[in-house]
Amino acid sequence: MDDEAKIKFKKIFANLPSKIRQDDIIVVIENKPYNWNAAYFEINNNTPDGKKILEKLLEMKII
Amino acid sequence: MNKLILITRPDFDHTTSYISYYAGLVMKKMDDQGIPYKSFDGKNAVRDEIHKFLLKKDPKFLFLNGHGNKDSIEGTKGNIIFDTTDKDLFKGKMVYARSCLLGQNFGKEIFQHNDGCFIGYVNPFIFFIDDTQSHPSRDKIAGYYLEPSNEIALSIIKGNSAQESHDRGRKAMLKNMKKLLLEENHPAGVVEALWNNFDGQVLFGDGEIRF
Amino acid sequence: MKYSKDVKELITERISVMPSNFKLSIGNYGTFSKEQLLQSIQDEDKVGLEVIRMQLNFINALTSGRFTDALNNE
Repeated sequence: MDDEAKIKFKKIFANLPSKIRQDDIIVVIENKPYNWNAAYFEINNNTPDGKKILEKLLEMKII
Repeated sequence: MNKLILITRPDFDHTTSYISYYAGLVMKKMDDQGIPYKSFDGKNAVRDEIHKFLLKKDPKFLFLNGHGNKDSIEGTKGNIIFDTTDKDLFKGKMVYARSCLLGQNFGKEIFQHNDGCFIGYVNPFIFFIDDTQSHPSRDKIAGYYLEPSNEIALSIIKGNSAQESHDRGRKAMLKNMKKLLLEENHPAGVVEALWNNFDGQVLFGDGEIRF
Repeated sequence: MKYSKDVKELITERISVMPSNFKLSIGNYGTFSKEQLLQSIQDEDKVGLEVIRMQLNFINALTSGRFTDALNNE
């Protein structure tokens, strides 16, 4: 997984209020929405979805 | 210039009925404080009548509610009451325009080098309404947006400076964003719409001017 | 088409969780239900473009830190 992108994501995540983390949908992978918390879990555990999430967030210029 | 307020309150769709209702709440405070005003309501919110009053009575504060774009603001449906050709009418005046986009051009062009001030928006002014409520007075959701917006007008009539009034409106929006984020079941979308209005609110002209 | 399929898909999901009894008043454009907003996003009409702009602006405020800074400086 792209370390730089992971670090960027974590820094952004760290700066979000907890309600935003749990309620705010930030990406959709194969028709499945992820909020910030779920995205963090996937990315932090280096899952295949985590990789896709990072790629999409980069493509959409969200991170 | 007279310590007098001109208000526009068109009422022909959801948006104008809500913002005009809320303007009415500010008018009640004006009544309480004995501040004279003239409100152009509903179909009376037309250019000719408003301009006639403006030239004759020279009110210092204009509280404008209505649809707008970057160059003009409407009164009643389809009737443009002010646009960028009306520059000379605004010398030394305080304007709060609860309207879309006026800050993009109208506000900036007229008030940048004017003795007066303009508070308005560079974005569309948006708000959620609760469709289960039959009247704005019962709609708690719309209140999250329109009460902070009223704070601007209320602050001006209290005699606070334009800058302070602009800041109070923004502070009230932040307070509501915080409140929503701390609520157990905060409805989706409400905070981002509030952010839109917060981020889009601008002040041009003399920040120290008072009513 | 102004926005990518991914962006439209994201904004669609974000709007889809809006309460069904809410309508969004967007100035001159009118007042819209969730279903109408979702259609507008797909069609990328004026309303859809405005909703996408507003949502992306908010996301940008989150990721840049402006949102949290504003809350903390209130």
